[in-house]
Amino acid sequence: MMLFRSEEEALRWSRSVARPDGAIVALDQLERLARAWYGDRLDPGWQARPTARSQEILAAAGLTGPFWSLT
Amino acid sequence: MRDEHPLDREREQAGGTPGTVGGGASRWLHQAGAASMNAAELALRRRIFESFAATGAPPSVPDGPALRGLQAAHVVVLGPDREILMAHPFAAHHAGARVDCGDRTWWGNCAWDGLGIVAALGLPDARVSSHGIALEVARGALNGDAVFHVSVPARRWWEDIAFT
Repeated sequence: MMLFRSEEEALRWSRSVARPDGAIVALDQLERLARAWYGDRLDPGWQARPTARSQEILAAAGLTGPFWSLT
Repeated sequence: MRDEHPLDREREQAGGTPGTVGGGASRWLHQAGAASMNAAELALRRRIFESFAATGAPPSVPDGPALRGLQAAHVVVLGPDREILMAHPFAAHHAGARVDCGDRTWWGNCAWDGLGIVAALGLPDARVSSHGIALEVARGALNGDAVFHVSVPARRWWEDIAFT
């Protein structure tokens, strides 16, 4: 998982390391994902969430399909 | 163009097997067994996260059942000497993303984690930088010109901590 300056640069890098099946996440998606995924990590009553809830968070950020399936 | 993942170097230095840091640590997303964490594990978890939040670094924790429980639950990732390497979104290593706010600094494993630190700490203003690219958070709004690339399908993230 890495930042790149453009989708083109990311795909060029992906091909160079023989990982052509990656996915691009836009910054607004990444921000939503980070907020939902990690926003509660310092809460005193934090509880681990089930995988199904994590899947919902991915979907809420627009990350759906086989690549984003956690199971 | 990037031709290697920065954690590759750390992996080699740690002597881990290919695709891992510290010889078998796991990625962070599926918290296997976390629902059954006991009181000692939850207390240790809280101590670890409070230390990361306050100082940007983990506490020194002797190996023992609680730490092993957190490792099994994917709450922490341990390094080759059983030190805490990650407690997502925080990282003890500096190969991923750096988060700056005023004169304070934290580290995450990637930009996702860096923004996660911003969210977890509730920082209204911060700079998240990773692999030479900086993202600015100003009054809660993210600014930057970049894309985030994920190489490995989600179901396989835990197989390889150094390359996702």
